[in-house]
Amino acid sequence: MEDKEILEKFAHPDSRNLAFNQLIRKYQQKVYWHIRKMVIDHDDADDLTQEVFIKVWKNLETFRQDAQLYTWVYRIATNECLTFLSSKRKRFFLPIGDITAELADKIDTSSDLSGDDIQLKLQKALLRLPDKQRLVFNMRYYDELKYEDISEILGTSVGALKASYHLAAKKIEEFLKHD
Amino acid sequence: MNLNDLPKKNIYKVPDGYFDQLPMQIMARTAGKEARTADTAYPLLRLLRLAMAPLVLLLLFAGVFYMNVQPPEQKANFALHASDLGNTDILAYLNASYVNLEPTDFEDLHLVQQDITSDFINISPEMAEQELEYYQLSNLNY
Repeated sequence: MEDKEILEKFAHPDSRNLAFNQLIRKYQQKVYWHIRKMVIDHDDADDLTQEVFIKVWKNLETFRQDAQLYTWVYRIATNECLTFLSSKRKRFFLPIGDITAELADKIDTSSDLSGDDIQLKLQKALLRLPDKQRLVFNMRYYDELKYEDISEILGTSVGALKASYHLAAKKIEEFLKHD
Repeated sequence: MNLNDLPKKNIYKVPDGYFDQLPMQIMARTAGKEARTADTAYPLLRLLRLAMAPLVLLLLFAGVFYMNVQPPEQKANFALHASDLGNTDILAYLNASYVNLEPTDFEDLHLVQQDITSDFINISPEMAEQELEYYQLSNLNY
């Protein structure tokens, strides 16, 4: 079902639930994986994914259709991730390095991970990036979003995003080369 | 090492059937929120519901108070009826109620009502025996 059709059906009370179910099925994996790569832990990602769709449900009526639905959903998911990571640091008075170590430890010990050493090393290298730079990298490298769409999601200029991605890629390559 | 040389691979896994169940879990949560939203759509009904709780409590307290507090005339009637009762009625009541009376009970009573208990406490063994025979209390088994 196209986004436009989902939005039209959502506008009618009779077909609202059906439309929202279609919306979840269409975007759940993108949202979940986007969040999971940021928070690493499945339970955290599950909670946040549900919160994202609850927010979508609450605010979809006010969604302005001049934006794309998927970038709007991505933006909610991105904000949820950033808020979660920020509150986690504040709650435990953790500096950036400590939360990186905690997430890296999850990569080492978690049973719901697969992949060879180089893939695990890449994930740990990503954790060294600042949250926003990591988001940019994930959206560009893994989700293969266009810079224009990332710009719409993050509210940052395309030029700044290109520079950020380039810098992130260099840092990761350095990390993989030396560690 | 160049990033382009690495295969893009998702190393994270989810529990089996996770994406089949997720829409249902989210829909269940939105259904709960919708029900709450419907409540707020009728403010008068919501206010009435909120007012019902203290009203029910008030009625409950009033009921309990009414049951426990007897009016003075009701108390006077009880005293009047009690004074009409003869010893036979009292003993019949005590027998029917299976009350075990001990000498200490009479001593307690003595402290409260002097002239009634003095007869009971100063009773001679012969008179007590006669009373027992008269009311056949000695044959009672408890």
